[in-house]
Amino acid sequence: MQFVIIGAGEVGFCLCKHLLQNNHEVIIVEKDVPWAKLLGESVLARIIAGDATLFSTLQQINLPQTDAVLAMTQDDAVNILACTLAKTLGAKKTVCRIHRDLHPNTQKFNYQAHFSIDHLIDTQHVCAFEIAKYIRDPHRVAIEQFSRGKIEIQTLELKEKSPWTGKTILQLALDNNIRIGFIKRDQQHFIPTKDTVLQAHDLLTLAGDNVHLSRLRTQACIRQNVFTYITLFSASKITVSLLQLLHNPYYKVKVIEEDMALCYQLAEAYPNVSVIHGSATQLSLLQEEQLHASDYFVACSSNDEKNIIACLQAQKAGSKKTLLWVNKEDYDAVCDTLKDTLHFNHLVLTKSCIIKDLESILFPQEISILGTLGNDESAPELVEIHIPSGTAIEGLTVDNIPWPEHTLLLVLKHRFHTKVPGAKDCLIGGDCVVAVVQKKHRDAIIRLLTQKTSL
Amino acid sequence: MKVTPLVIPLAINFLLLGLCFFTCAYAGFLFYQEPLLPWIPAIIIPLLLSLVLYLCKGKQKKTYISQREILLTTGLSWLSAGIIGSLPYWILLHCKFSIGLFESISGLTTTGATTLSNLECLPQSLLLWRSVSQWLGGLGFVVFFVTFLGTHGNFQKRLYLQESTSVEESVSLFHMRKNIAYSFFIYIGLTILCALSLSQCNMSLFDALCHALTTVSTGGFSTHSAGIHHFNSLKIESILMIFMLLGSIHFIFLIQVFTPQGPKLVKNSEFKTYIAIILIATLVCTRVLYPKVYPSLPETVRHALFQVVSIGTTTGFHSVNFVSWPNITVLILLMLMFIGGCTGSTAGGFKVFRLVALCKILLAHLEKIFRSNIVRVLKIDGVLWNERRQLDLLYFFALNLFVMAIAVVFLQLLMPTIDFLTNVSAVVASLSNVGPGLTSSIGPNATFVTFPPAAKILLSVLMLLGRLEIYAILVLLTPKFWKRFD
Repeated sequence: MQFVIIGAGEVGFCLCKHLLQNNHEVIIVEKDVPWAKLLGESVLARIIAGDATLFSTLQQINLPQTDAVLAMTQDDAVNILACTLAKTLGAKKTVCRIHRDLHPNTQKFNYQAHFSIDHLIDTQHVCAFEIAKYIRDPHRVAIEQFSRGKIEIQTLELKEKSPWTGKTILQLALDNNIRIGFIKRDQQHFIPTKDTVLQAHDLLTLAGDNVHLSRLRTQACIRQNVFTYITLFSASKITVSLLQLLHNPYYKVKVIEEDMALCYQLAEAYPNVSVIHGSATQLSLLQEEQLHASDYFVACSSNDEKNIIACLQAQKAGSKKTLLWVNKEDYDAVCDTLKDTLHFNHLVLTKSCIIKDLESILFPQEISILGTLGNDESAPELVEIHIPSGTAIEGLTVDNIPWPEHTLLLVLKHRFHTKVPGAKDCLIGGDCVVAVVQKKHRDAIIRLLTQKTSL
Repeated sequence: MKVTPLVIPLAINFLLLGLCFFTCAYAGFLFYQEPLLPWIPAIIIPLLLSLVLYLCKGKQKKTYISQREILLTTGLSWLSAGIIGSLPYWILLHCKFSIGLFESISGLTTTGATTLSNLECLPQSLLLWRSVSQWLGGLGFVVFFVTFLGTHGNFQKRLYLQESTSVEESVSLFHMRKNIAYSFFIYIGLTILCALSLSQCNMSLFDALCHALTTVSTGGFSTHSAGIHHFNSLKIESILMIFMLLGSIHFIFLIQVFTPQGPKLVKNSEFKTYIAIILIATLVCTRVLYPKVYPSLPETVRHALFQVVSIGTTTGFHSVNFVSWPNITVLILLMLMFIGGCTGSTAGGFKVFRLVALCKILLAHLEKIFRSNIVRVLKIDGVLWNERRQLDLLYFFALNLFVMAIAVVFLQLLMPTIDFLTNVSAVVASLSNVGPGLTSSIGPNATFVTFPPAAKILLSVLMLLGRLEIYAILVLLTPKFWKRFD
């Protein structure tokens, strides 16, 4: 396959090496002429020295022949403009790296649609997502990442006194934006139907938007008293992304930051987060901040050396689990040694996170299993399915599709928008859905959504 | 220092006072056949002064007006209004300078403390002027007329910021005029509504009008020496309570009640705290008073609530002689006096909004004692309070206490025999623009007439300080204010 990478900085260069290793053809567009020359001598890629935001530069590439254009520079404006230009010149797929949160679900203005960009990728957010997956239930984070924060997954345990106990799902008259994905009862997960009677101590996993879920929690009189205490080192971009992924009130997060101005910025933006001014490499500060009560310590500053020391100090101060974020590509080789020797619980490497995310964009799988909740055949699975064009169900509304038994649609992604689908939502080619389905019915639903035969 | 910007506000001030004197005198003549002649000098002097100032104004240029000139304008406007406003007392009652000044400033600053007894014997035109002076004071007439009639944009804006407590500095002139216009219409609307409601409760039209003027302005002047106790009516007390409360809430919030943003008022931390303070104070007073002082619970609630609302809104009406209540209730009333009402209203005192902010600042500071590295950002109702703003509030609080302490010492020096509670309550009641004190010598059934002239002038200055949030008057007393900047 042929790929065009715009900007051969840390991310672009790393991506180029990875694609070349996998026998793909790569064209690099680099503005910095001396660096471009140097690249030409060191990598087996075609190098074009020039500004990718200019028509004359991109004209040198046969864009309709390329499989994807990846704008990976540090500048959001350059990336957006280059992607738009490439799309106009016939690029099949454009991937734009962004630093600010410009995703359609979090912005009133749809940058992605307006500039006709196929995929937006925020490298820092991708790393934060990997860290969050370790702290939270990975299935939940996967869906939230899929919906880019539009849909949240929450688990509620029903108490004996809850007004929901003893009622069927139908009687709850849940809002259209809410789904009960699955229920855990007596160590068994199952997908509920409208006639399922809820019992005390049932663990419900719900999907929906945050506002509706909070309201629901109040309606069901469910209060959770178990908190998870998380300490983050430094107020980096990853920290901000992490705070967004861990915005549930049951996560008590504190951030340690050396820069006072950043401390104030963070405290202003996140009033529920405790911001501590100081360095996490200082043991006395960590002890003063009662790190022994912390469930997770995440070192995610931009300085890898400091991160390592901070993790060691956190272990010394008594943090239950330590997570290390490694920024420099050079350190990849020693990461496993670091993890084993220093007993860090989890290591997140920038390079592997970005490559993993980009691979899912560049080489999409029609079906991916986001998670399995049990080993038996009736255990629910979270499945992400891309609906190709020309299928039999194309154009049908959700209520007109003959779904297999015990299947629940959780999320529907239509071009740039994500939502909990309603009965009258129409499925078309190019859409992507996340469904909860019993293992034994997995093939049936895949067939239903992907086969091009008539129903 | 430029003097030209001072001329127009002062001229407007005097013109307005002259017109008000004429209206009161003419009303007395028309409805109560009182002679007009004694009022003539009181009417002519301000009108002449206004004319002279207008002729002296020269060509008004659109020049930059500094903070110093704004402060001078504000301070001098109120001082001169206090002196001119005392003319009717001097001329009609032939009283001493200090008594007239005390009465006039007590009226204009919406304090409601008085040196006059046997109010029933006073000319009705003078009683009407007492009430009108409080209504004008509540309106903040200097700001109102200068904003609408003045020419200097930055002057009007700074004057507005100087006199109002909780407005953002980013307010535009258009927004400011709109706010003032809305507040003005609400003020008039509430006054009319209050007067009409009171007139339906066996109150004469004159009493209803005078009480409406002094209730909505949270002033507290009554037309009867016995105050509201004279009417002894639950209906009247209830109406007064409602309008005292409405007068002490931010007027812009009152507009929001009738807009789709209605629930915003309920979410406002100042409003919530204010209502909570009133309810808790009433509850505690009721618990203390029942059954020791009043054998019936409804009667206890009625008196406790009325006194709490009256003092809490800094109005100063009284339906019973609360100085005879147990000490704890008197202390509660003293605290209510100090706290005062909401910002953006006619109420005086430290203001509930500031109290909320102060509590939050102190709590954050307390946390810093045992967690020195924590960084907290203070936000009240979504508005960020930076360090400078927090410090400003702490300075203001300290200055309040400092002024209070100095005033207590001075009053003690001027009146060596005065007891401590009388002294403190007189100072707090004046500084918070409440009116009556909390002891028998200056309480609801007494007046400040026994105070020596110097003490009366001291209390008058305190009333002005309280009305203008201390700074506008206090800076005039600093020598550096009058000197050329280094």
